[in-house]
This record gives sequence, C-alpha cells and structure tokens, in this order.
Amino acid sequence: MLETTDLRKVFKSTVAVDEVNLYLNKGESVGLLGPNGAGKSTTISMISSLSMPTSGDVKWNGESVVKNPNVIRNVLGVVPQEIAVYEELTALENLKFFGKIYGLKGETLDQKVEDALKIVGLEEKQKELVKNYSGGMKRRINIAVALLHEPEIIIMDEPTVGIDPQSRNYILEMVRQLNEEKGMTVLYTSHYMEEVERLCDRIYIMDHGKVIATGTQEELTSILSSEESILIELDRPYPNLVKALSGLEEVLQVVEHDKGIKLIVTKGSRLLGKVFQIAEQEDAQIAGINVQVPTLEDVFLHLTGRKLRD
Amino acid sequence: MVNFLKKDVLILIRDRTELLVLLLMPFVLTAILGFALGGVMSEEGFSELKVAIVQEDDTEAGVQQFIDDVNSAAFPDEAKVGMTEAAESFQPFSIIEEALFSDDLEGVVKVSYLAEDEALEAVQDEEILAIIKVPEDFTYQALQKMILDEGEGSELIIQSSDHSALAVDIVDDIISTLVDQINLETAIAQVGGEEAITSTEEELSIHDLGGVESVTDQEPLSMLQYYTFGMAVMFALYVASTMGSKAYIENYQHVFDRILLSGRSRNLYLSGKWVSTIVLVVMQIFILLVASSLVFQAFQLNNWAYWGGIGLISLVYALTIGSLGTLLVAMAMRTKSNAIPNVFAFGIVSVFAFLGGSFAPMFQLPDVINQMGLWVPNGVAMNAYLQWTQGLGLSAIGPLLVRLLVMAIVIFSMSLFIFPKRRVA
Repeated sequence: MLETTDLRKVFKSTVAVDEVNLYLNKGESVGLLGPNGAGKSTTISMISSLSMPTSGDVKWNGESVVKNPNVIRNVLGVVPQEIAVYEELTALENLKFFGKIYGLKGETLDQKVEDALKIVGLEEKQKELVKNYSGGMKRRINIAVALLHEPEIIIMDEPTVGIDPQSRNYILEMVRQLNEEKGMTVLYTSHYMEEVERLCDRIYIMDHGKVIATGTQEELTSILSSEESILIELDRPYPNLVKALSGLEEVLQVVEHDKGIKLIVTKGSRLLGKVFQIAEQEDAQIAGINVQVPTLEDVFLHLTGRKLRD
Repeated sequence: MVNFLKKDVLILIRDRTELLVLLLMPFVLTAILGFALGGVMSEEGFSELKVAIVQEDDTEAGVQQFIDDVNSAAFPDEAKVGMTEAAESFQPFSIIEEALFSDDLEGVVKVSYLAEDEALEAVQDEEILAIIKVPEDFTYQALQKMILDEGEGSELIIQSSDHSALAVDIVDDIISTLVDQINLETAIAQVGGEEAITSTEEELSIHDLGGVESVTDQEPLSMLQYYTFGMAVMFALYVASTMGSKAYIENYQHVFDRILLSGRSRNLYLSGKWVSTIVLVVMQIFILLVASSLVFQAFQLNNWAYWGGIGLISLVYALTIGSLGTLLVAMAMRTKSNAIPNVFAFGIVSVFAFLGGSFAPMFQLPDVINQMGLWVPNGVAMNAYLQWTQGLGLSAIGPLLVRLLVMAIVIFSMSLFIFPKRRVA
C-alpha cells in the first residue's frame, strides 16, 4: 500500500534521513520510534509529499508520490507535531475552512464536520476559539482536521506532545478506534515507548536518520531475550556506585535516570547480593529494587547506547 | 477563493491590535493632522493661488501695428474695415485678464502685475506661485495668426518654482483652458466671419470655460479631506504587510502545509491572499471615508458621481495593494521569515507615505519629492484622489489609474516568480 525505497534527505552537509526503507499494509498500525532529531518528521514530510527526497522514492499503491504528489494527497490525513490550525478561529470555523479546501460542501460538509467533532469529543466546544482551548483540546482539533475527508491512511507525528495524561489517554484510545474499528491505516511517530507499545502492530526504530531495527514488539524485545534489567531506586545520585557496578562482569550496561540506576545484565545472573554489597561499601541508600523483562526502551538502549528521550 | 477571503477577514477582525492599527489609527491621525494643520489649506492659504503677470507686450502698439499692416496690404476696403474693428475689439490677453479678475475666480486666484525681476524674486521667496509672462509682440503676433492666419502665433509663458507643484498645475490648467477657448473661438470666427467674432465676444465669459468651472464648483480642499486620503493610502500599505506576516505565521504553524496537502495549488493560495488584501483595503478605505464624512463632515455623502470616482480609485488602488500584499507573502514564504513584512511595516511604509504626501501636504513638498511620489502606489492614488476631489475629472485621473494598474500587474508577476515553487529537494 505505502512503501519507501532508499529514502534519503540531505540538508546542506547534514544527512537527516539515510536510506530509509519501510512499508505499511492496509489497515496496519505502524510505529516510528526514535528520539528527537532521529529523522522521523523529515521522513513523514517526504512520505506526505511536502518535501522532496534527495534520493529514493515513496510509492502509494505502486505509484510514485515523488513524481505525482496528488496520488496520495486525497487519501492521506496528516496530524503534524505543531497545532496546524487557525487559533483565532473556532473549531467549527477551522473544520469548515479545511473541509471546503478538500472540496466538501453543503450537507456533506456539515455531516463530516459533525463526525470529526464527535470523534475527537469537541462537539460541546465547537464554537469556542481554538486559542482558548487547553493543550489537549488543541491536539484533538489538530487531529479532527486531518480526519475530515475520511482518509485511508493517517500519519500522526507525535500527537500527544505536551498534554495531560487524561487527554493523552483519550487520543490514544481514539487512534486505536480509528485503526481497529474504522480500518484506517496508521503511521504513528512518538518518542513515548508506551504509546507505540500500546498502539502499533509493527515498529520501526530510527536513530541518526537510519532505521536501526524493525519488527513486532515481540520480535524487537526478543533481541534482548538473553538479558534482563534491574531498576535500582536511590535517594540521590551516587557516581561511585555507578562506576563500581559498571565494573561487574555480568553487567552489560549501566544507565542513570532521574530516580536511580538501570542495569542491563545477563539473564539469570544472580547479581542482587553483589549490588547490595557494593551499595553498602559506597554508603548508598537503596529505596527500592525491581527486576524486569526487557522493554522496547531497553531495546532502544541496547541498540543506540542512549535513552529514547535523551 | 471566498473560503480564503472569509477566513482572512475573520482572523483579522479577531486580532484587536491589528484592527486598531488598520482602522482606528488612520481615523485618529486624520483628526490630529487635519485639525492641527487646518490653517495651511485655509481660504487664505491653499485656495488662493497668487500669480503675477509680467507684461512685456504693448497691447495698443501691437493693435496699431496690425492695423497698419492691414491698411498697407492689398485687401478690399470692406475687409480692411472688418479686420480693423476685429483687432480693436478682440485682444487675446485682455480676455484672459478679464477671466482672471472675474468674480468667478475671486478668492481662488489673486493676480498682481510685476516687473520680471520682481516676479522672479517673489517666486523664489514663495510669495507667489507662478508667473504668467506676456512676451513682447504677443498681441501683434496673436492677431496676425488669429485674423490673417499668418505667422506662428504667440505663446504665454508660465514660470513657477518647485515648491508647490499641485497649485501650479491648477494655475496652468486655468490658463490652458482659457487659451484653448480663445483658440476655439478664433477658429469659429475664421470660418464664420465678423458675425461670429462679435457673438464670441459677447458670449465669452468665465462660465463658458468648462475647465475653470469644474475647479470653482468645488469647495477648496480642506486639510481634513487631504489627510483622510493621506491616511487611507498610507494605512492600506499596512494591510499588505499584515497579509505578509499572517502568511509567515501560516507557514510557521504548518497550516500552509495542510492547505497544500488538500491538493490545492500554491498559486490558488497566493491568489486568495491577493483577493483578501483587495477586499480588506476597499473595506478599510470605505470605513475611513464614511467615518470622516459622518464625524468631521469632510465629504458630502449624497454626491453619487463623486463617490463613484472615489470608488473607482479605491478599487484600482486596492488591486495594487493586493499585489503588494502577495509580494510580501511570497517573500515571507521564500525566506521563511517575518523580517521582510516587518521591514516593510516599520520602515518602507513611512518612506512611501512621505513620498506619497501622507505626512506633509504635497503643495509644500519640493517637486522632486512629488515626482518620486508618482512611483509609489500610495502617491499615485493620493494624486488621483486629490485631483478627483478638486474636480479635474476622469481625463486627469485616467493616466494615474493606468499607472496603478501597471504597478499591480508588475508586482503580482514578481510575487508569482518569487513564491516558492513545488517542494524543495
């Protein structure tokens, strides 16, 4: 249905996207995961025909989007990372404006506007100016505009950035419904691991402009099937503790985070005793300890050596 | 297109700061400047055009010389008598003098007789606007041409300084109209003979001179009228910069991308901006003129012919400002920056306004500034508004409207060229 071949984008001397190959089948929900600056938005921009690739191609049902952008424009809905609506207009006025530029009119337009408002749950607030909306409501109207013309495929570029957990949950549930109940194909980019885990059938992990891993969640986490992670909660940072733990043979990686330390260790290594012993030597106060099976976050850490939100 | 227009109007209406700048500011400035500088264009100032006549011609000697020539020539006696009578009764400059001193031009033109040196000095000192010089042998040569159709005729010389081009234009128009009328009557007389000459002499009065009538029928231009037009043409420029800035925001917030994703062409977007700017400028000028009429009684609202002309000038000017708006939109999109619309709003508009006569009355500006003003859209529109208000008619404002239309086409073509084409690789 949608396929990119050796997609590459170079800005002056910077390679933003490097030989990216990905595909989406009809009705699939695919995640594009990567930290800020990984090249996700640039990839989306090329897929949606807004930006011309330096080389490579994007094909929609076998036709080149690069050569003829119109093959995808009428079937594509894009939710950009930015709130791409007119904040001085009401939600209703925005939807009517964008509906009309998609060629909708009369009763059809009114019906589609009503449907879009219902999907995003803004019927009650449709006559309020967007600038008076909360962050979550702005995100929802941003999505509603992309749904107006009932696209076959929707691309969402980090649609939950900067909003409260309740709005975020609402949006995630909405995306799930669009995919599962309406059969809409979804390409979802995020640097929130749990969103991608919750929504997507397959995942592409990008870093420094390249796809570094791809597969289902199970396939990706199986990369770390021989490993497990130990989360150690500390009352404050202990640099010497990190240094000491890094020196242990069974420890593959040590990552500091805001609450303590995460160790990626060989599966089955009986390490907890040594951890407590070293902590005592370093006079570190352990507040809690938790052994986990690998997550996508761990996979990303394993593949890139850094956390997703670095 | 209507969809784009509705959206742009709604956005502008809801931006109170912008609305204050575009609608209230010109009205307030019109009031301040109009009342503060009102004396400059009062009856004693602008409306009374001071001219000096430098008489180097001896009328009686010229008539006598012509009669001597006729008597010494081989004409039949009857013809000689007719020509002599015609020369004694029909003296060209006397007709102009009578018109200048007539009741109709009282309070409009003040005439004095000076020697050439004094007159030149008075022009330099800005005590008078123009000199009407009657050269030596004017009467003799004029009679030769008019009655015998011999020689090249004679010419009046109008001299002026640069300090008040508009007022000098009016003096020039008055004299030209009078001379044209004399030439016309002469042509009729040459065809119709003595009877026609006599009837011309009887009927010729200032009321027959269409060009002069059109000036004197109007109230002198008031400062409130002047600054209403001055602020209207100046603040219309801000609509163009506003459209440029709004387009930059649309691009920055990726709304423009959304429009492109709908499959609409870039040129449609640009044309939408053009139409929106035109409509906003027309609305802005209309509101200002009506407000100025209602609050200051600057204009009479029931003169439909006059308002028809004002509407035409406003529309043509709006087309040009529409093009200027699209140029700023194109530049903002090309540079992905709001810098150019800002530079335009905070710098170039002031320069244009100065050249166009929005800050200081044109008749007080040097001619070189007035000439430069004819190369900026607001200056051309300003001239058209003033000339129309002073009753100079469509023939006077026609070339100015054509100039505005040419500007509109050239600027719009430039914006099409500058506006970013399809996706950049």
